[in-house]
Amino acid sequence: MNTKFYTDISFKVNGKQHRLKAKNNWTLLKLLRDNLGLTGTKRGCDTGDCGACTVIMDGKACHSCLILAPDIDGKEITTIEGLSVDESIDPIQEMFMNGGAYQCGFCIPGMIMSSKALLAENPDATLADVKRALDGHLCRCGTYNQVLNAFAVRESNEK
Amino acid sequence: MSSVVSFIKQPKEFEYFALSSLEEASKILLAYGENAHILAGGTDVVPNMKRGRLSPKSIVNIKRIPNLSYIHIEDSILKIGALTTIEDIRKSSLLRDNYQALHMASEVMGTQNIRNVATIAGNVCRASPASDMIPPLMALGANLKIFGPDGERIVPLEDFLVGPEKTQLRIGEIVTEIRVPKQPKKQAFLKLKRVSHDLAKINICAVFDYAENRCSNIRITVGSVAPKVVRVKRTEEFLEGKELNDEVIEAAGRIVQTEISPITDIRSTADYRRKMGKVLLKRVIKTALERRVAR
Repeated sequence: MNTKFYTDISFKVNGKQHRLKAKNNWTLLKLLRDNLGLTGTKRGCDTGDCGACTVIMDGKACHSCLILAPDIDGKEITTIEGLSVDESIDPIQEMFMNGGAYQCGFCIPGMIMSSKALLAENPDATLADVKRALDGHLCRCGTYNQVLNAFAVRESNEK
Repeated sequence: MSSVVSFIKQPKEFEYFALSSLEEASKILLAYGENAHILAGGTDVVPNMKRGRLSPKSIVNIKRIPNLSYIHIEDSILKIGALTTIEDIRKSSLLRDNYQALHMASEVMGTQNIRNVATIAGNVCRASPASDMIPPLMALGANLKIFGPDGERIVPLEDFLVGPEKTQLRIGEIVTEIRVPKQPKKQAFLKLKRVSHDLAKINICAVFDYAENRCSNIRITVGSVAPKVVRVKRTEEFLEGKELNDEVIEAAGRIVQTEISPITDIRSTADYRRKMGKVLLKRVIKTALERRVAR
């Protein structure tokens, strides 16, 4: 193992501190799934085109497949696993469930993380804001309308 | 661009450096020369490493260098830090209200999660002929401030871009700031694409002043229709000083078609791009005249 291709990193995932020696050419996506066993974040295209790998890093929704592992040193990351603690679930997950906004579920963790980042920054997000925030998410099952409906129901419930 | 299908693999192994100063970053870039690559947002570098198009032996992360992310006007010049993200640009009310061309481009560039991390200097230095940020910057007469081992220099964006994905950036240099000296009253940018993520089939930017029904200082740039983003100078010369009525715009649209050299690729055909050059010229001028205020 040639240490010049590795970097010692210290970072938080879902509130838990981690320290490990990451290979520089790993992505955050690979690290989450293979090293930390957090497989809720999905590998769709691996090139930043589908959104399935979306996580929240230091408050921003981003593609974990585009972040090199050493770059997460000192960062705080939230994955889909971080939204449900013990038996509780996040209101956004409940909103998706109530709206039937899923079929196979593969794209949904990514959509939920982008939604979470959006609503954390803008709790009064309109449907136009939602469409923009989710514009990088592809769903092979075609649940787009159900997702937007789930938000629309939420919007009308809030009024 | 090579084949449509590219196999995605783990990037070849490399050394990684995250520096906290321009001087340190420049030293490492000099030491590794052609074998080093700057990492900012990474939304283009990382996929290209996975596709095997880039295999640097060393990655130089410049995101930890402080004071490179800002948007402000100083001495009447708009100054944008190199690491300012496209999303920062989109959220900026200063840009939304005063630099519509740049702001409109930031709204249609990439997707949300790309905009969140992609940087303006990264987009410029990638020098894609399909860039969304280059057409407005070029139309606005932007300059780049560049830090290097021999000191700082300022280069006009038009000169900086040498060819497709080729810039004047020398080894050891880092773009630190983008400066826009002009603030034209009328500005607009339009992008024609298939889906949200897509690169442009064709994009266009027009900026000008308009007084007493005559336009002045008109500059128009078009992307995705040539090896680099082009300024359509004959079209500009034709329009300069004229009233922007339907007849004039129609004639200008025909001139634009002779100044672009689109190709047929995965996103569109040369023929369609050429036809849309005329249509977009009309739309972008009308949009600029109407002075659209963004959401």
